[in-house]
Amino acid sequence: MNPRWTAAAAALWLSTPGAAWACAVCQDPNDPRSGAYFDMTMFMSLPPLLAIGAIAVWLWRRAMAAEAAVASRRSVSGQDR
Amino acid sequence: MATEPGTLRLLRSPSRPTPGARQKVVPSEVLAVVIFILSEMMFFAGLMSAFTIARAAQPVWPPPGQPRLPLEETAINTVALLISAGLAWWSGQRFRTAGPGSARAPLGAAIALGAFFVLFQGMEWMAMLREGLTLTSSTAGSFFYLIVGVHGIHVILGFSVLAWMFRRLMREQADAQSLDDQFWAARVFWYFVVLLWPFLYWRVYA
Repeated sequence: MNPRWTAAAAALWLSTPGAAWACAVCQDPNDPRSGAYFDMTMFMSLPPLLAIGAIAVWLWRRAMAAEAAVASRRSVSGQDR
Repeated sequence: MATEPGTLRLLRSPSRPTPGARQKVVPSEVLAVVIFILSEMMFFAGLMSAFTIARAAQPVWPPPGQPRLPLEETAINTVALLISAGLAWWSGQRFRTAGPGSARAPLGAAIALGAFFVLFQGMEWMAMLREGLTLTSSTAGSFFYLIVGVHGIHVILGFSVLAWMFRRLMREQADAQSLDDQFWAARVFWYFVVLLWPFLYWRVYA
């Protein structure tokens, strides 16, 4: 292997741990709070999306049921005629 | 430019009912409470997030010199609150099947259990204060009184609304559809307050 490429690869490898430590939120990966930060990021991000999705599905289902009830009433009144 | 009514009719899907035939999918009161609950969920999520990160920074919990929270006693209180939600649900079922008069008894019991929960919490707070856990004694005390206190305010608000509904059920001459919608909205808020508690209990007390 070309010694220049070897040196570049070694420099990259040596600089990687520095990049891994550069977390704007956790600051220190050995900090006991880093796991809590990650968990709470998920906790604060997912529930609103799930809740809004659940409400949208609930409203859609109720709208479909109401529409089916109207259609059913129409068909019954049509048969009566 | 005014649009011809016939043009609108053409644009509308033939399978969809005309606007005049549309029904109310969800009462406005219930939808308003659901939106309010969404904002409340995020408020409590913020509190729990701050608490979890603060707790993770401590090597031992509760911090030295601070009392342990009464896990077992509060479990009884948790059960009382869950039964209260069950009774509120049953009251709603009775309201729809047998009328407002038959919904009063389970609703009264649900309100009584909600009041019991708040009284029990008050007694627990007195005991904790005597043992040295105050709002300024430690991070544990600050978060305990903040989270449990804010939830307690919601419980008081919830059973006050249920008590107002109980008073309306006593009259019975109220418009049935309007009463049903308001009662449904009150119950939805109560379910939120009750179902939130086991999560807070698990995170704060355990």
